[in-house]
Amino acid sequence: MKLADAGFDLGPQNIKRLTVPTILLIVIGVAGFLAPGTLRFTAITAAVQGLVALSSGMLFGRVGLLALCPLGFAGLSTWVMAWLTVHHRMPWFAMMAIAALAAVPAGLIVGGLALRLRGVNLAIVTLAFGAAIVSIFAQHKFPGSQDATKRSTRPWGFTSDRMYFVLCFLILIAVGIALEWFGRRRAGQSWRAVRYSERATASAGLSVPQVKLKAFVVSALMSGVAGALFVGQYKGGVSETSFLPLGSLAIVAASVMVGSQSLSGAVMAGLLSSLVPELFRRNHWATQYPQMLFGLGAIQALSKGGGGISSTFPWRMPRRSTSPPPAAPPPLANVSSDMSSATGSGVPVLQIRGLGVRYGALAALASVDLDVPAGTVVGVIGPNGAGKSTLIDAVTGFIAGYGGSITLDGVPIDRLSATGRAQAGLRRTFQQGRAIPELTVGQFITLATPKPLAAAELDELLGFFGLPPADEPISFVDVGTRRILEVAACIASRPKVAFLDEPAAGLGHEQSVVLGQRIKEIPARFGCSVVLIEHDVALVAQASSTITVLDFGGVLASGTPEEVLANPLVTAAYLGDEVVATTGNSTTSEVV
Amino acid sequence: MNQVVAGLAGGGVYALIGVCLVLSYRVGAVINFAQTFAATLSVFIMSELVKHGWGTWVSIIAAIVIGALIAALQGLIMTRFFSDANVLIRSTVTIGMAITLVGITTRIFPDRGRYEFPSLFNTVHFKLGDVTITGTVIASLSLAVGASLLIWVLLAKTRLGIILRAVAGRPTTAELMGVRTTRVVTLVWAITGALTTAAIILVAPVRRSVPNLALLVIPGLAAAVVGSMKSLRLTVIGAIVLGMLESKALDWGTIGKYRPMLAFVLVTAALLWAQRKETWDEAR
Repeated sequence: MKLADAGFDLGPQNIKRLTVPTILLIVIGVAGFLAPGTLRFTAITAAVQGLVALSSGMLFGRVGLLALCPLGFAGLSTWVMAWLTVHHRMPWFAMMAIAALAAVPAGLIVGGLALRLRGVNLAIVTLAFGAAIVSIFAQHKFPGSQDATKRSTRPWGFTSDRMYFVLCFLILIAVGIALEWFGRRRAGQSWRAVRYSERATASAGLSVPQVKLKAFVVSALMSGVAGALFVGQYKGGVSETSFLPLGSLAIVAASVMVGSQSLSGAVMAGLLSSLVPELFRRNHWATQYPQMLFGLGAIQALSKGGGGISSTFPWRMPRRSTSPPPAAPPPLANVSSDMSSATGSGVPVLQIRGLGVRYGALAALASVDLDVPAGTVVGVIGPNGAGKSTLIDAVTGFIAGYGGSITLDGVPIDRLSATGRAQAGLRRTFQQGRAIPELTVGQFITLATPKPLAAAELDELLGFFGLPPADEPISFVDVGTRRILEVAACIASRPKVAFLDEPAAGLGHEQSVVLGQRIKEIPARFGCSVVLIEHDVALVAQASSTITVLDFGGVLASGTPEEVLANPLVTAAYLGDEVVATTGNSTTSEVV
Repeated sequence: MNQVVAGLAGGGVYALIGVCLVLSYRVGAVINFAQTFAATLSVFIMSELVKHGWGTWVSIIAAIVIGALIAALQGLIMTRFFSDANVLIRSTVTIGMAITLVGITTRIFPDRGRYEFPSLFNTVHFKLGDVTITGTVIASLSLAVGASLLIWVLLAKTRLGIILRAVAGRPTTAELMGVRTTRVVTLVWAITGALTTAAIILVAPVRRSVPNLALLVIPGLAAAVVGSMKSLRLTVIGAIVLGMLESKALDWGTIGKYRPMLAFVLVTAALLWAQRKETWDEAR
């Protein structure tokens, strides 16, 4: 399975087994090394273009951001590398590192814009950015480009084309492996989270701005390394025409076509954009045909769902886990509502006072008070439009201006961001499924927890919720189970209070009953309180020790499940006034 | 002052491109990065026709028809294969189209060739006080204003306009209500193709090369985002301001050398203003 998300996993065990990608990589490397005279330059181009494709494919494929200026980043580094080569003789690798770093400020600028500008807006602004950068190069020619061939632009030992290819290829592999390594850490996986939902990312305690800025810094660095290598490739004779926005667009098209978010895709994109035109040239076919091919290939890849060619190769297919599902831990002896109310007799861990939210003239919530005692499950029900979603959004930090105050463990949290609240121990799930199909069950849970869980602890958690083994890819998990997985991830971070927003939506009856039992056990087993927002009144009655009913933005009733559900006002709110006379005394299950 | 007025010519061209971008965004829910690329190919074909002895105006009309046809073909691809895709995916598709079109254009018309583009209106010019007004200024401005009025009437005042706006919001719903989405959207693409080709014809004698012409999509986008991809009036105003600033910047010494920065600054400012409250993405 690890192989699948890595694309190329060069871990020791895979090197020993000589997997398909490893063999292919070695073959490509040897072929490049043995390439005859004029093809050697093409081989260098393939490696350098591969780096640029990796930089742009990483943003599009992993983070879901379309930036149209990969060559703009690269150009800045080329300029600095050229300048260093002319003016400061220092070790080549030191110059390359400085030059690559020179692209970082540009990455931060574009990343900063990406905090507000998303989707096509980011594409528009980066296209203009790429054009603006070229205007700088048009005024400040690349240093030394006039008397290029006089200086050595390649490191000692790598001055021949053959050896320079080896160097570029090794750097491409090293960068690709570093990206895979980073991609498997929490920081790298949070890119995928941002791609699916920024709100869910923030609710997992991750700072969305940091995640995006890191992604752009990494992308700019990779383009920057490529830019530094350009100088040696052209032996200093670079001009601004190498960095035109059209070139960036072509690389974006190629990287969309092959899906160059990983090393395998990047190598492929590099080969396609250098070797194929070269072969066309040698056969006296027009070199523009391959370019047209990339455009059409990108369109074709997008029509198939956007994974690109590399995602359809057999070695990239994720494998279903072979390990047995974790065993469920024994149920806690008799977790009854008595017990949870006993643990919950203390001070409220979450206090909401006078919470009010207005949308224009409409008061979505008007002075709502709600206490969540430690170690309890508090159910929140109410008809559609009662303000349940507004309540959860305001408390977890997704509504900017609200009236009233919210304290967690006695500390006011009104000034904290959504991320800050999540880090302080106030977590939530979402109505829409937010599980990330590219991750495994275990990776998704790790993403939500600041400190990684021990394997035993993880297995216990998975067993408790009846989830598949940790190495199962989420893409193989059914939608209902994914929702339970999101609850598990929320609980795994050991929050003080967990808001579960309609966790049973889309679950079958059986699954929903089991989930109710599990939610009821959460406070005793994980030591956190739960606020359960649900339409399924039976589930809420089963799991909660107290229930609050919202209607028209205010609290209609509050108390034990029995009291609340017997309350004629509640029945009226749900069923309309006329039925109250006949069903006013009915029990929960009949109301539902 | 002369320079500012000269900038109006560029402003008019940007405005034409900008309103076409707005139109295809409002009706087709796509940022058509390939719009100027299709027009560039048509304009190079025009130059070839002129070389083969076709009359100037016949060649121009042929180019506009070809521009409309290429755009219609793009529109067909879009509605046929990507009607359910989101705006980002649809717009990325147009990048693929743009690259394909550059490939085709440079294949047929290689860099080393020399291409003549007829300058239509520069022979006409008159003086208003100290200010010289060229025919190109008048042509590009009147085309831009005329096209925006036409599009405004089309969108706001006709039954077709109501259908067009319905198509943008919910293509499937519109289809279910009996609107022939494909036909309507293709028609709109053809209109944007024709108008953009007209715009490119006006600047071709000055800008000449494939990248210079194709990348006119950038100032066009700058104008369109000033209008929030919605308002035709603000798009035209944004375009004219950008055109005049770029022209005026020639007087500003060092700063004038970085004129492409202006479009970037304008795009950034307009987008950041429009998106200032968007703390979160749309996904909930």
